[in-house]
Amino acid sequence: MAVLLLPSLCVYSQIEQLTKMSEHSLMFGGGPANMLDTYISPYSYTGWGLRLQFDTHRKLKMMNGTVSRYSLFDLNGAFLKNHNKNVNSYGIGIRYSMAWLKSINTKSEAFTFSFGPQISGFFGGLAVFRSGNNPANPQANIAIDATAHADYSFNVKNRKWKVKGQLTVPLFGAAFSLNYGQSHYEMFILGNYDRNVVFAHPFNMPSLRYRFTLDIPVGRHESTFRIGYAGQMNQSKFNNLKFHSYTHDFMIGYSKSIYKK
Amino acid sequence: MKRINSLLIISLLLPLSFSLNSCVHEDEYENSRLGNFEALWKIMDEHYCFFDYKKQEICLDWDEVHTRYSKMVNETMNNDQLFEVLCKMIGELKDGHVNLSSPFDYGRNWSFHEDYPLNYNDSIVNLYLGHDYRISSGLKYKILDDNIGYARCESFSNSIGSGNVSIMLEHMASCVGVIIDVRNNGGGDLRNAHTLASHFTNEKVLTGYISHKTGKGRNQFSTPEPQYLSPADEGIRWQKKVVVITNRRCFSATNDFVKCMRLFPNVTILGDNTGGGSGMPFNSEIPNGWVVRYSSVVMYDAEMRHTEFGIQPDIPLQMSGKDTDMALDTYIEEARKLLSRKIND
Repeated sequence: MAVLLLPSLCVYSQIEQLTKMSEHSLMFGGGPANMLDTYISPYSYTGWGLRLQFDTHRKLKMMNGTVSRYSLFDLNGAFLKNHNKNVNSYGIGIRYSMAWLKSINTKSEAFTFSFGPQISGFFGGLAVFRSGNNPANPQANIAIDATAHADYSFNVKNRKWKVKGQLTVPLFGAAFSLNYGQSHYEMFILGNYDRNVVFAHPFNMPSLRYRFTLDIPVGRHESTFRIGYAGQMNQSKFNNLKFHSYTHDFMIGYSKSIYKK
Repeated sequence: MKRINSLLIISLLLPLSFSLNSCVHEDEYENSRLGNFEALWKIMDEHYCFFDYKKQEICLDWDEVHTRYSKMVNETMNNDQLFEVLCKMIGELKDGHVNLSSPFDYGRNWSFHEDYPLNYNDSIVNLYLGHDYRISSGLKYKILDDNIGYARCESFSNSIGSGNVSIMLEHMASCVGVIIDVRNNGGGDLRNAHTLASHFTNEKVLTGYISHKTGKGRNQFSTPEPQYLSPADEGIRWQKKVVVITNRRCFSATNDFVKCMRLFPNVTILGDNTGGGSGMPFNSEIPNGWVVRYSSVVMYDAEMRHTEFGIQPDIPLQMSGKDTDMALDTYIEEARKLLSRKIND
């Protein structure tokens, strides 16, 4: 259903010039990270990571203004060690996603709920530079996700505060993965393909991304100070290789709303 | 519209519920003596690529190895004792690419060269090189008195560029032939080995096949992919005779270099068997942090034969004690005779 809805949504995105309001936010944070890639090691690596997120939420005119477009650029890096702290590894992830969200009438001005399909692209992985033949299994995927956003506004000393929750679940897509014992030499020097692009679905890529934020108004009413938590549970099982990346980041930043005629 | 909303909510909730209940994790062994033993055995069991071949050649039974060595492990052992048992266990594979690294030792089975004569004397080779030899990208070379080029390649770890090889061959252009001495070259980067070899062929040559593990089963392998070596795109391609000198310490990428060179019509391999090492090594680790290396990718020769236990030379030869006493290198002398004879023929 998400796919069926996409073409019509793309058409409506052409009338962006009629956008009534947009919200931009920039957040930065960090927190613990836990990563596993059985291409490199059968053991999880743990450590700390940093995350940068930039998102834009823009209302569209389609469906009587009940549809909005949300885009998120997400960059994270992590420095990790094995259980014995004698091997270092580095995790990195870059994701860009764009969602079209349909608002539901909640019969409450304070509470809004919207959901819809999302397209996302990701590149990242875990690297351990102790071997030239299997230093990392680059993870890359393009997926159709389902995403939902919920906002709740409330007043504190006549200023409007807002709590926001976001939840995203990948549905299906295409993913790149090296094969079980395939070396970098075979893949990247000889170019030997061996089922390296696989169909991804919730059974082999059961993942979850969520974010909760609190907007605290500062200065003029268009700007807010934002604090929050971003959690990601990215997992995959491709070509008999297992991968997971669990991150919990505590974020701070700001958001700014822009009004247009 | 309500139906669409319901479907979208279901499309969110179904995978959400699945994701929340589906943690992707790997069973981990505890960091005990037995846990480390089992972890190492399992890593090899699921990833090592030569079980069938070693069963055939050296009667290796990996399950029997587990039974035999598990009796030697107990929780009262110290690190040295555990390391010794684990190294002996992986030593059963008789593979120079299988190693266990700890902070205090490097476990290995180097019987591929330790059980054989070295057939190399560094001091004598230095007499041939003298003081006026040239060095280019790790290749030491000079023209010997009888107008034969001599190139010593000690490692394929250093980057070797086509330009460097061409400069060397241009310098030797007037020579009647060239000797490539790869004795004691323990390998390095395959690309460097292939770059050097590509200057000795005029045609694209099928040099072998490559296959990797595709799963935990001992027989799970990808379809072997052919490997070709193309002539060097730029620079000089050597058209005269070549003798490649080998010994048991020619391992890994050097083994592959010899595997390629022996296919060329103007090349003769002279010396002792190479050491082998046709598996491409991967790294992993066991719970106590010791790093294990193992062969994961099989590289066959052009006839789909293993070269894991080495390649026989065209002209087998052992160093003569009499020559050594006279500060002569039997291999270099024989190669010179061979090249002189060929040019006279």
